[in-house]
Amino acid sequence: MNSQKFIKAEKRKAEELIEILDPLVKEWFFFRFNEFSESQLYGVMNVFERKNILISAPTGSGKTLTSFLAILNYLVILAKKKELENKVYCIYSSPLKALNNDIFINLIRPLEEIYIIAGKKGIELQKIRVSVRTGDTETKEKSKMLKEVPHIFITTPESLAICLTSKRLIDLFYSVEFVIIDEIHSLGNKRGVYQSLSLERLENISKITPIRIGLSATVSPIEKVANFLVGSDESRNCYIADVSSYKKIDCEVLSGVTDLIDTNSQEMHSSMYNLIDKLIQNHKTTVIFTNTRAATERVINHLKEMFPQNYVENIGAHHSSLSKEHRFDIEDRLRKGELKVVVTSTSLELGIDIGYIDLVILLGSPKSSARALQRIGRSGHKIHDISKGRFVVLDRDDLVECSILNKECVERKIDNIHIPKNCLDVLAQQIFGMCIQKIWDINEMFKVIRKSYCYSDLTREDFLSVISYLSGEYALEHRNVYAKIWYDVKTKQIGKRGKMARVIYLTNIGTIPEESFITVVIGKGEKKDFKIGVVDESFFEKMKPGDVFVLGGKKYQFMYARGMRAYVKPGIKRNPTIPSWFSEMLPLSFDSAMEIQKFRRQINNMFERNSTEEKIKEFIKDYCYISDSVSKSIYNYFYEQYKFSKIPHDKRLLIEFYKGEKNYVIFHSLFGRRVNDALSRALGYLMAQKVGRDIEIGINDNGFYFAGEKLPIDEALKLIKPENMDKILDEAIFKSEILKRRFRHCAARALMILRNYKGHKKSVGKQQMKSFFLLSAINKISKDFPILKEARREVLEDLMDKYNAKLIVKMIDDGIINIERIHTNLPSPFALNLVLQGYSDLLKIEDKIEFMKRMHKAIIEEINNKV
Amino acid sequence: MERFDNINKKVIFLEDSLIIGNTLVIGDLHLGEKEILPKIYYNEIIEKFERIFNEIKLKKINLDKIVILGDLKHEFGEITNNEWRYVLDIIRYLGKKVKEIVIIKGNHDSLLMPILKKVEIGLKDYFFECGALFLHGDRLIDKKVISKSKIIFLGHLHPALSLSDEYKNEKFKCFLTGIWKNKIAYVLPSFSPVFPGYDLKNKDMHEDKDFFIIDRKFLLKFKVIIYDNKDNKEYNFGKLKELV
Repeated sequence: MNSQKFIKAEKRKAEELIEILDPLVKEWFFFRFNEFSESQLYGVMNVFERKNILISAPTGSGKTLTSFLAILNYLVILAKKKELENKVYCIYSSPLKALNNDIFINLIRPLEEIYIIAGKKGIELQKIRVSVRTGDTETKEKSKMLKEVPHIFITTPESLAICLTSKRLIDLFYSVEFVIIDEIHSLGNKRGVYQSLSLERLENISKITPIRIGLSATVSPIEKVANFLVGSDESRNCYIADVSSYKKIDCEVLSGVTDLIDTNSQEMHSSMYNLIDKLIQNHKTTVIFTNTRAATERVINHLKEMFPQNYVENIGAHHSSLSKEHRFDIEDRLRKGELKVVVTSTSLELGIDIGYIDLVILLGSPKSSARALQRIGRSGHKIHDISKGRFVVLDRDDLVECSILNKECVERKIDNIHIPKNCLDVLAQQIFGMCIQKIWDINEMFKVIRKSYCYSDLTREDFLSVISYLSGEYALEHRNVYAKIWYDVKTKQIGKRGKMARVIYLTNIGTIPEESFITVVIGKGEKKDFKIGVVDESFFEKMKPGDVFVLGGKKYQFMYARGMRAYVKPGIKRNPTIPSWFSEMLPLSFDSAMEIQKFRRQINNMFERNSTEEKIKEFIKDYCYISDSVSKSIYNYFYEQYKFSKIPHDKRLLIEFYKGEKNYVIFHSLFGRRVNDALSRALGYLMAQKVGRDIEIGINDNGFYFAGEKLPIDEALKLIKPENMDKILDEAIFKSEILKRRFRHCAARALMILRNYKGHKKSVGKQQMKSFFLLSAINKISKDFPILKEARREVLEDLMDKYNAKLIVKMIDDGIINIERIHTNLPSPFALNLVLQGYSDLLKIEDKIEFMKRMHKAIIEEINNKV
Repeated sequence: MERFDNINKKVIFLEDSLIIGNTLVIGDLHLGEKEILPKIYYNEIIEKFERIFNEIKLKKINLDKIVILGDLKHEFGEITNNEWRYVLDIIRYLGKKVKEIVIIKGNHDSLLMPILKKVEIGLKDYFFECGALFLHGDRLIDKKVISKSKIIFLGHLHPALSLSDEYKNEKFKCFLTGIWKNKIAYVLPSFSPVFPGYDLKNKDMHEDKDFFIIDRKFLLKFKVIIYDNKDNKEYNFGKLKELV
């Protein structure tokens, strides 16, 4: 099969590196630095020797310069000899738009300094040009690049794809020698898929094969990411420099109170903020990571309210829904040391230079060890600094989760990255781009596409169905108005259609779905106008006055809306009337989930063996590298569950039958939300089909529950098999809100719905309306329509985790996991959070008309009763 | 047309349309809406008409007229290619089914006239015949006409009702019927296969008092009727004010 090799890079001697450096570069380097960093010793020589390489190292370990050093050196040598050509030598692509500062530090300033050194020595150098081209670059700048070609071309995945459709730019790319992909670990999504195809297109254009240099934070499995970087062509090997373990970390789990269950929420709240304040005050600069944008605002408000003397101008928020200007300002003030603390959701995870940070607080579980390490790594930015991170826990499930993540961080167990494969919407957009570039032979195009790691096993059938869609064969429209390409079956050639093609492509490119949000604010009482958070517009459309919904873990009743604001009443006790499917929270990684399950089993065994409390607490403490008091809290939590009923674990799947206001069937399936989502929908669908009524589903990382009048779960468990999971799941999500929503995203990526047409921007609402309509039309035409197929794939493979869900079903089938049942009058301690959280979705089985008739009967009865 | 003495008994609901005497009345069509795929949209409309005409045949009704209650086309300031095509197509299609097509001018129809000229059909502000008055509903018309009518049919509002039990919420198109200006009035749902319509539970929609000529306080006394396309049966949900 594939004979590609992924080779561990060796650490080279400093002398070797010194030898290859031009005297000017050498002088500059040692003027700036005392010695080479670990990542430079592993990486620089490979770039010099023109080998593909993936460099995995923590932020701040000098990996950007590692990638550039040999290239700068090469360009300086050419500049000295006056042999610099008018072409692009190096393309550097980063997912971040705000690169200017990093580029200044790693490129502009080194070059300036080298020129000064050269000037002093009377050495004449040709000018080495560096240009940034992103969506924000002005037209004037862009046209300048065509005349004075930048030798180093800095861009984003989207802008690179645009460049590849422009004939004049392609002419500059004909012999690119180096391609650097930064932050490649953050591209395990459709943006990354998109970029992987752009790289193959670049390779196809280029007369020589550029080497690929990938820069990554700690990631696993590293070979997979290397493969993602270089693609699947058999001739492409890749060196791997894994220097991630060279940065020391110091992490700990903290809780504001010793007893997380019997302390009232007011007390818990204030002691948690006391703890956070103390941590901040004991350090110079702190970054706090929360998982949601809404929580970011909340934390800032509470800190300011509780400690007005400590936090005034020295505190700031940084998250993706804030304006660019605001974010730049925060980053700038961080670098200048003007801020004591910054609270962020996920936006500061990536490698933007943020200056000196000596503490990272993880407020609530970061949900995966890779993410935990990435966040903690933001502190101690200099190479030899120790990264310091503190997990501050919110509740008892969070406590257990954070303790296991702490263990994984200390032991450097990284969870596996997920890279989507065979995304047909991204493929459609890229094929359209390729057709704008030139007329292709269809076989050549297929070959180029399959070189991408993400499409290495793309079937010809899927490829051709995308071609059919793009060339208007699905007859969605009269005279193929929507056809974007032509395909001549006889000559096997394909090309673009229409004069507008390039404009349509330029104005609709990209993979990040557009959403619009409604701000939720308190509508009355003393906290009137207090901003709670945001909800998705499409979710909001489902609400009517009186509905109860969950936001940020609290229940609110919707009162009324004005413009883009929804006014609500807080402190609601009633159960939610609106499912919370919209809240696509960070899911717990499957690997970390299984670690927790394993931990549960070990504790369970100790209880069953009648180990003493002391011994168990000691074990927990050593196992998770945590303090006595945290270990005690975990012990108490597990002991309660053990005494109450049974502890579920990786070999025991506990099903709890609890009768409260409704009938609950609770699965203690700690597999992470992605697996639970798939499992619960499959089982729920089977049950709902039997009883013919809708079934309520609640999902979190620790399990899921069903509620309804009749829940024939045993029958469902008998029916479910690894072999029929695909079919069941396809049917289960067929009518779901989530499929509709993801279909809209996919349709926009595949350019079925244009966000921009002839200068008119379409509102998200209009896009949505169109996509719902399209979806129902397509369902009539073909279930295998490629973009619908992609939406299903995205829901089942990216949003959910079909494969691991199947794995679990197989383990049940094979008897590796045993199912045990318990009946309770109160939810068991481990089930409490799940039941309290409310439901996530409703499996719709009942026919809309049947529902109408049922409602009709109920309403008429009610009216008659009144009379 | 005979005079409608036993008026209420003469109204027959059929999907999103209704029949009075030998006349089929339909609500807003919004052909050529740019955001949607016009061909599929058009096909869905034709499919719906086919079902309705079949049902009419089964009921042995001798149809001689169709009244379209306005908003036949969608775009305001222009006539798009799709509007040219589909407005003409639908009129030709309906022309084969009945002798007469009456088109009321809706608020979206400011540029409909040039298209209708091609098929020599006029555009009326309202239509009155044998005591029945047909109008769009966005603006008032001559009081004398209203006073001499017995029954009034209106479009424009796109009424729909969301029904919800403990946890489920679905929106249904609906008819409204009640007394307005001492006349029997019927508000028809839109004929569009795309828009379910505006939820009557949502007060915001009607805060613009001028949007619809019947004030919400009167509408609250109207009865809500939802039609079941499967069994061809209507369901009377009682007065709107009891439902919102």
